[in-house]
Amino acid sequence: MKMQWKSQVGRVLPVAVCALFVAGCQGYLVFTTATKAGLHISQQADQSPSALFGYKRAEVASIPANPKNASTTEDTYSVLATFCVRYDPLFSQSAEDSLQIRSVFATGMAAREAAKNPEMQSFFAAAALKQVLAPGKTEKKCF
Amino acid sequence: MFDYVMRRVVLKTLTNGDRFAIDGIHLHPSLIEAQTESGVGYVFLQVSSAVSQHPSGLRSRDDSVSPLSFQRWVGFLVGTSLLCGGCAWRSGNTEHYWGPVLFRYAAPPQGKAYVSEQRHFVLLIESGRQWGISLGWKTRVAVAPQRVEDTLSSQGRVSSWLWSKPLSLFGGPEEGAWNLSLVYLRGERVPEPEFLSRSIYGVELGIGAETNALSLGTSRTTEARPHDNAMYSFRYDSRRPLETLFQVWEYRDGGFMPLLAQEGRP
Repeated sequence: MKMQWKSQVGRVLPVAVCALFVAGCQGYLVFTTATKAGLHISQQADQSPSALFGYKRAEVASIPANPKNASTTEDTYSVLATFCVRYDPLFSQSAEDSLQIRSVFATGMAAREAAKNPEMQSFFAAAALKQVLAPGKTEKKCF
Repeated sequence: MFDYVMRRVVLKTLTNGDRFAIDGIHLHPSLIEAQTESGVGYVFLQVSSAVSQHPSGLRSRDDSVSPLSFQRWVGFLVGTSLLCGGCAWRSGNTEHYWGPVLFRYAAPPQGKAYVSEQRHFVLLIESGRQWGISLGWKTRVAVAPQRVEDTLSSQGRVSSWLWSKPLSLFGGPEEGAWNLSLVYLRGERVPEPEFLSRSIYGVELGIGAETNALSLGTSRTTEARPHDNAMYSFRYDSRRPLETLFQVWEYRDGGFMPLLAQEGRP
């Protein structure tokens, strides 16, 4: 009985581990932020599996590429974005475990059209300048 | 419970001057009396130390204190997990939650996006589009965007999102406030989330559409999955998730001004 149980675990475990790493391989656009402490094994879309022991902080954008060439009516997956992330970990000076994200982004044909639009150009230019800290300014705020 | 039992033994011993045994090591009354001069706290520490060296338990002579065993602690943890644990099933536009869950949500026109937040304690088993098991304190925030066109119309589109607690005697959940569901919570016509924030303090194994991870310790991830040919405006603060702004403008024939007007200054 004990041997049967071990045998079943031996069969199921490799399948579960493979599923863990294969299940995330799908082609979609992902903006992700992550804070991890401890042991963490994961698999994000279109990326290699990763294993972590310790502390890690990350902001990642994963943009899948379409193998077809772009045309006037079909897009390969253009992205136009302004992105601000502010994170105060639990044990930081502010003693607050908080995360702020502010973003304006366009995908596909909307991104291509936005890039041509003068008003959108002005908007993204102003947003980019705002990301740079002004002289004397020490704190970053997203909103 | 552990501290309480230990203190009870010490106080009883000090009162009666009786001897007691720790795993067969009999403490002589003179030793107890000598420690009594230093106060209860000192004796308590001595007893704690002795027990830690002899894990099979502490036994008083008159058997008024039950033994503490490893098996009992495991039983206590398993029992607590089963009692406080829950299950979540998410499939299509319907979500089901069995067991205790802290829950709140906001939807237009009060909110600026379709936001729901669930907090689970101890044990959670997930199934449906996300499979997993977690042990610890877990929080999940799911946000679906609101269409810009709906914000511009004077009427606004009425949200068909419906949360209910069919087995509760105290009525359905209230929007914008924390709700505790002890038995069963159901969400119907739930819009597909395009932003997810998941945090866990404990152990989690998850496989599915939301995460593929095995984590031990603390893990906090956010993920935005916008769809193609659209433009988004997004503001999220983890301290005030119900105030999240998430609006989407679908690409048609130009005209980005509505979204810029919503966004205001960059």
